[in-house]
Amino acid sequence: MTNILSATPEGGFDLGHGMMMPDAAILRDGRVAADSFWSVAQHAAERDAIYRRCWLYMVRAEDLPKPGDYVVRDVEICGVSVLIVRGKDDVLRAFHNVCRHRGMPVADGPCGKAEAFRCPYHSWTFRLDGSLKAIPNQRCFPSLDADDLGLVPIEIDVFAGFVFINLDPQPAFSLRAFLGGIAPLLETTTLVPFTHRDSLSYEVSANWKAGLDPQYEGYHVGTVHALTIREISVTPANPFSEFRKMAFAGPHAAGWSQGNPGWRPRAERLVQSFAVQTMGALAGRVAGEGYPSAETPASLAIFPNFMIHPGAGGWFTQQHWPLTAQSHRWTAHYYYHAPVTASERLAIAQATTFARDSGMEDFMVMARQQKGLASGATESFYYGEAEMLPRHRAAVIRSVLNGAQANMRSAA
Amino acid sequence: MSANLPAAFADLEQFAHLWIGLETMESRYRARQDMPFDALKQFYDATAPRLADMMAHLDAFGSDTLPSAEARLYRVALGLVEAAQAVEFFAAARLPGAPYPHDVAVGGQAALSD
Repeated sequence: MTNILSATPEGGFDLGHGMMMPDAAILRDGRVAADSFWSVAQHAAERDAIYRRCWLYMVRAEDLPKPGDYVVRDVEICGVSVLIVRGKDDVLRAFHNVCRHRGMPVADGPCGKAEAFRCPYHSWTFRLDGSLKAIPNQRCFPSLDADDLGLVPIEIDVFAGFVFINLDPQPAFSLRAFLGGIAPLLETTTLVPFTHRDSLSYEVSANWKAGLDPQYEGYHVGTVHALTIREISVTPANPFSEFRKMAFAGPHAAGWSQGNPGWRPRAERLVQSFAVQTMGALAGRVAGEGYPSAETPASLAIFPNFMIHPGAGGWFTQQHWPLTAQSHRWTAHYYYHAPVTASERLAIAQATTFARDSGMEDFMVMARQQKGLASGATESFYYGEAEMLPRHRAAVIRSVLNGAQANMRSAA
Repeated sequence: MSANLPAAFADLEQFAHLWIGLETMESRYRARQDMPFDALKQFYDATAPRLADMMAHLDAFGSDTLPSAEARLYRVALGLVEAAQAVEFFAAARLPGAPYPHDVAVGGQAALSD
């Protein structure tokens, strides 16, 4: 059996390269090749074996509520612009955002509403279902069959309101099979009642896996976040902010934090105190609907790059999209209950601002770490046992890349 | 514009110009990076103890569209959120070690229509 939720990280998975296990040496020693964070060859291998194969989270279904609502999301590592649109039949579809005439993007991102997509180059027009509606001066294309010239579709599927795409024209596995044992944890997230959302984006000078790492462990919190979230997480009983529980399902993983239930903002922090108190009142006003519970993982890690966390006032989700071998784009959405009062709006602004700054603490560290690794000074780096989530992810990626290479050899 | 803020907060007029023109989180963050820490601290010290009063005043209006004086007061409160990051956590205008200047996009590639 593959992809079963388990307390141990050794479980098998199949990402379209055959059944495999996470790399045993990495799981055992936590030693990872330094060049996995900077080599151009590894970047290309990850593109082909992971980003062109796995289901990738794009957007929430309720973010496209009406026919004609669309988003454009770039998967830069694959050079692909993905257009996701809700059709007049209420069906969500995904397409390559590429005109069939001469390759121009037909939709301007990152989001919008359309009756149809008219190419800005020569006005070829496509319906919301992707079919070609009109070719201006069509008699000049006597041999073309408009029925064959719809936008090129991309596989799309939805689970628990999370819209995923797969750039493999014929995915080796369904979204449900891909999620496997992690699916029930994804299903227990409740983003729908949290209708107010702040979204942030930042380009980080570090490999995408370096971007994920701080979300995968609490070990760094006491050091990197000494000025901000350390006191929310670190306690005398848990000085290194270790997870109280970890679980693994195929390539995915989750970690449950111990937290600091006694934490309150310091009294002299007047603005944080006001915001936290107001956020608590907002929670009381909506009777706690949909809030993460003690059983909610602090980090729910959907391979390869999607994270879901309980957040101040609700939830937040984030992704780390590879750009180059040494850079990535961070995107994050913070979900809150809809504010009614000015105080509630201000509390939300404080929560997002605080999250932005504590995120920057991570980004600064990663950018410096990236230089250190890319200097070639060391051949490897280490994840400890409290860093089992990133260790597991590194072991999964190692096996996937080995397996993909073996497949290529056997096919040759 | 002689009266920027509601009369009860006239004593904060001297700080209003810092923030009332800044409509976005990005612009407030950039302003914070550009402001001397002492100026942020002075603003914080004068304003933070008034925050509960300011917000109680604004909450009485109870809608998204505030009268212009109240809208300016809310903008000052949002400025205080930004200044408070500097004062309450970093004891510096900029995050120690952060590139200057930098912007964290609101929306950007993650943007969604509302």
